[in-house]
Amino acid sequence: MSPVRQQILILHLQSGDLGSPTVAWALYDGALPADAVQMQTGSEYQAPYESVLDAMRDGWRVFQASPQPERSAATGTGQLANEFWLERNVEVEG
Amino acid sequence: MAIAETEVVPQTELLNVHQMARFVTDGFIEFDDLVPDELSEAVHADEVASVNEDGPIPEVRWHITDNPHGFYERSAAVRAVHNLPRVKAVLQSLLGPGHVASHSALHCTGPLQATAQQWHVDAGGRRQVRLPGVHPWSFDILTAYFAHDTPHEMGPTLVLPGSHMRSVLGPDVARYKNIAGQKRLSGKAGRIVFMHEALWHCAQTNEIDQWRFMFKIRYNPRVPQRGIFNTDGWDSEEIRRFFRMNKNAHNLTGESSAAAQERADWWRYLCGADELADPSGTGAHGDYA
Repeated sequence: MSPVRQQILILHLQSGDLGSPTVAWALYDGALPADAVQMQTGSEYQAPYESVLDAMRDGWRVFQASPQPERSAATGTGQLANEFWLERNVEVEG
Repeated sequence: MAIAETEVVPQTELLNVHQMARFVTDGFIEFDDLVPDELSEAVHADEVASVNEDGPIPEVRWHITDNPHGFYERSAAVRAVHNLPRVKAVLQSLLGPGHVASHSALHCTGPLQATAQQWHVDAGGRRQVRLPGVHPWSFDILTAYFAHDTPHEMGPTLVLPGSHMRSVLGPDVARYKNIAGQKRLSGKAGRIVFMHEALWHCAQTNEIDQWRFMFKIRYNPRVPQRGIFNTDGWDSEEIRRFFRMNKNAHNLTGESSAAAQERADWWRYLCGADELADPSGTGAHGDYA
């Protein structure tokens, strides 16, 4: 049986609705060897999935969502909100 | 040792309210026509002479030489660029008279560099994460000067417009990789960009078989940054319309109302206006937000 490795996809959505549009994305691929190039900043201008729901339909499993942001005008803005972590396992050559 | 600017630029040559409103919204302002071609060619020659097969020569690596102005001192041409009257006018508009160049660096990216820098903010963040005693609207300026043509595939600096309004600590944004609205500062030789210190940015991969250079200076203000540009028309209907039309500019995950309100507060501060008039008592800022 081939060994299995985890891939992590982090999506940020426009709102808390899992069907709302993707505005940021990052892929961390545990199937790549250490000397391979992971996803780089500025490497893509088109999101791989339109939304979290879109990614789920392609086999990704959501395993973490950011808590609802506590925000007000007084606190200004900070990190991107509506963050979802998805995973899938892929087989690699043993 | 910091290099202090002592000359004062006449008011008429300073940035106008349209340019400054764009800076407030985007967090940077870029110019293609400030630097004569022959000066950029001379800087590029000095840059090419600053790298060899081992990378940048030690004299331009300020972490090694402990000289925060290595390339600036080596290159008369790059000094001339940053002393051009029109460049100085932009700097004074953003920083006020007497601003100081705290350090500079020649960023060199080798041919066919396959990895990019991570998203970051230089030297920390802003607002809630500032040191006690630093005024909330104080900001440094980072210049990014490209002496040679830098097309998209050569990977000039990537910035996230509007991110200067976000309170973050520099390395914390490294988790992100690609963000809607991200923009490479591509352009022709001689392009110079003036960035707010809190703007998220990162160096990019280089798909071209040539060195890519970017020369950066970080400038500190020495005066309160208000009323220091050409503020004529700051409260005009045209400017009010600009902010109304850009209320949702750079909104990513629902922060537009907070960002618009902050921009309105900052705009009034920048323009030297009195404390915010808020007859409703609700904190609403009328036309600017």
